[in-house]
Amino acid sequence: MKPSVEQLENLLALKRHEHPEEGYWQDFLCEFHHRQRGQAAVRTGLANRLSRVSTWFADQGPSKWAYGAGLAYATVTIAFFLMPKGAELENAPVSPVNYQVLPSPAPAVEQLDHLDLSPSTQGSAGEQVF
Amino acid sequence: MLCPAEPSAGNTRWQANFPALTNGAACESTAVPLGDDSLLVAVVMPGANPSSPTLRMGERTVPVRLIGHDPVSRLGFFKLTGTSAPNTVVWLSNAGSGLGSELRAITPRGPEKCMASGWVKQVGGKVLPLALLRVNFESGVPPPGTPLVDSSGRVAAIMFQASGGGSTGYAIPAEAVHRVRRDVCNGGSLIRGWLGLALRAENQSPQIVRVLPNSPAEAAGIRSADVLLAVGTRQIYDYADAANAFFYLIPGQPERVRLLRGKEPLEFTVIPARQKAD
Repeated sequence: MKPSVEQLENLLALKRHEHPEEGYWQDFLCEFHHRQRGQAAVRTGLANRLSRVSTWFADQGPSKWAYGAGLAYATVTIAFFLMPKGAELENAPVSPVNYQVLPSPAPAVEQLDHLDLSPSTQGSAGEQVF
Repeated sequence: MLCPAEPSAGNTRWQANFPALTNGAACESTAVPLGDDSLLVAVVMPGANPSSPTLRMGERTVPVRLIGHDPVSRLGFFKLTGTSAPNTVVWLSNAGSGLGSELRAITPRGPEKCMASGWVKQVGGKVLPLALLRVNFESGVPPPGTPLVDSSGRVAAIMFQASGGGSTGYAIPAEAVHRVRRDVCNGGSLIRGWLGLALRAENQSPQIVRVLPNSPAEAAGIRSADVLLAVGTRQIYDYADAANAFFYLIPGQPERVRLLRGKEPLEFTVIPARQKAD
């Protein structure tokens, strides 16, 4: 059933009187800005740090080279101590080998006692005395 | 008269037929005159009975008597009774000179060209008691006993059997026929020479692994771990060479043995003893 014109006018009048609670819009704006700052911080955290470090280096003047050399020396020293040493490699535990290469067995050779070349003929194997 | 060098020899072919042994098989072989005493030699294949052969000369049956048979080389020696064999057949003393040169097989169809391409010492992982000649034929392999002659008509070898495929066969060299004939015609069987030293068949190197006490080898001064270099005129490169050389030892006949002890080459003279029957 379609609503009548009078019913529609009453509904529109009711909607005109509806308003959010007091302070709603202020809280909404505060929440919006808070989330916006949070997302911006996550996206640019690493870049900001690099930017800050490079800015700091640029502000140091000629002494920045001394700081850079010191940093490189420290990096090389740490890498040297952390690398495995030769003795440690030599003393590394030897894992057992599961596969062994065995010499192929010598082909069976028989000594025929008589001239009989049929395939079923059996000769003598091993030591032969002459 | 039979002369293997002549193409017409096919008309006077001697053929020996041997009946089968129990569970064996009959065989036939060309018989070749040995040149004197009405002797003939034929190949008696395994499974055939050598003691009662039938000999035919062309279409005629000829009475024959078994002189002896050597089961090692499969050679059987027969003597004609009541008739004589031709004495014009000439045998080479050593078939090695025919290697690489053209030979002719005297077959029932006439002479056929062939060539001895090398020695066969081992077949299918089995070392032969004596080395055979590998012979390549232009057509099929002729039957056992077929004489192979050189350009002068001298017998260099007789066929043993086909190699199992193609047109290649194995032949028994003339020196083996001479060696076996020497004993068989004197005593009926081959008496092999014995040195009393041991080798292992699976070793490629012809190294002596043991010398038996009170043996001819020990008496000559041969020791274990010596490596054989030569026996008589035969060079020794591996176990099969040694086995072949020992086949030709004659009991009581001194033989020169060269060997290597460490890095030192040595030479000994050994007198083989009669090999005891197994």
